[in-house]
Amino acid sequence: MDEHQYNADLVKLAANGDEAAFGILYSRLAPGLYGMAFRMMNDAKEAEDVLQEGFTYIWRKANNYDPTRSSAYAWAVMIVRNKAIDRLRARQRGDRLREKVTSEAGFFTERDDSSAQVPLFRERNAEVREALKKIAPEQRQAVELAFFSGLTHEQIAEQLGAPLGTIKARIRRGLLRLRDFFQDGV
Amino acid sequence: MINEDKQQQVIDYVLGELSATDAASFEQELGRDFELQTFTREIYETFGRIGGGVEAQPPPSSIPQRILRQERPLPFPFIPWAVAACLAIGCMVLATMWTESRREIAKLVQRDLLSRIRIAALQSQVDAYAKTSAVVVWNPDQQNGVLQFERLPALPANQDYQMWVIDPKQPQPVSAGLIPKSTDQERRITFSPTKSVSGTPKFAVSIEPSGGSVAPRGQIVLVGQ
Repeated sequence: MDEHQYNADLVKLAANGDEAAFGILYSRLAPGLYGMAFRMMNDAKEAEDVLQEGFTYIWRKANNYDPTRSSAYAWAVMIVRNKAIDRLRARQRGDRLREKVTSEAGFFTERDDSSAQVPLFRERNAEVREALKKIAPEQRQAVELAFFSGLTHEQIAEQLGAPLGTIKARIRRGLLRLRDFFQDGV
Repeated sequence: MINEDKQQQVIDYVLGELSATDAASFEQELGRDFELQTFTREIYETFGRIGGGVEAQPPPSSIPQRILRQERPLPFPFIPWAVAACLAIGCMVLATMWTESRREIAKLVQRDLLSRIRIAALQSQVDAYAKTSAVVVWNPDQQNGVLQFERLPALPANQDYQMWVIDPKQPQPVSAGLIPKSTDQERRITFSPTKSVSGTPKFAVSIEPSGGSVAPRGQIVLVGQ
């Protein structure tokens, strides 16, 4: 059984109230999602709150998950990302994040393979880093800001001093290239 | 062919940047247009890869228990009224309610047990097992658990994988039995240690001579708490 199908099955079981399946789903998805929440919030306690809110939503809305629309992992990523964005926007912590994202390192730091990450997540991290290296820096910056920072496209345009249309085009072109890289293998 | 304006709309939709009205309208269109569905799924997956590609961090292990505890319905909100009703309408109804309550109590006890279930991700200890993923769900009250694993390499006929529960209060690991040989890449087995263990034990898998060992003698390939 492939990874996506297994995750989808666990979501289906959780939708029927299977607490053990929910626990297994958490153990499979949470390391990546917590890493993402931590990077977005830049605070361990807030990242934990975001993760808990995200998985509470997953538990409550598991029966809304539509496997034809996305993999369970992408579904969970967007849920946790949106919970983090809600908090970022509510708390107006954009300045701190803007500084972070526009810094050289960005969200995808270079790590050697002795990282404490489990192998599957290490592979995913390396693959995304590789893909992001292959797109234009301004596209990468726009995609990362759009996904992680909590800024609207208008705010990103203002922050980067570029027209809104240019920012939207960078996001779109960057995403399409990333899609192609992921589909074809980096 | 999805034009650029529509591509932009998909991106805004997936990022949650569309207004509620525009999102509802887009979803209607999405339901009718297979090509649009495919493109939307691709954008979802691309964002999923980006979000899931940030460096992973060990998450707090208590979150599932916290969520399940908070999401359970309040126990017996009806009891004060039920008791009053029972007193009013007599012993027969009281007996019926009592039976029902006992069932509810039994359910709650069972749910409370579930809340104490522990989950451990086993980490590979050697390179050959770097792609193996294994998770243990452990019930300390019943002293048994489930081991779910993927990509566990096959062993030669003269060796077996053996499961161990490591209780710090006991001088040596407690055997939890052999993992039956199978060609399936992904499996779930139940296990229970041969002795009672306490506290928060560790779990390990080692390679032992065929038939297993009383204490681990071979290489420990997976371990976690």
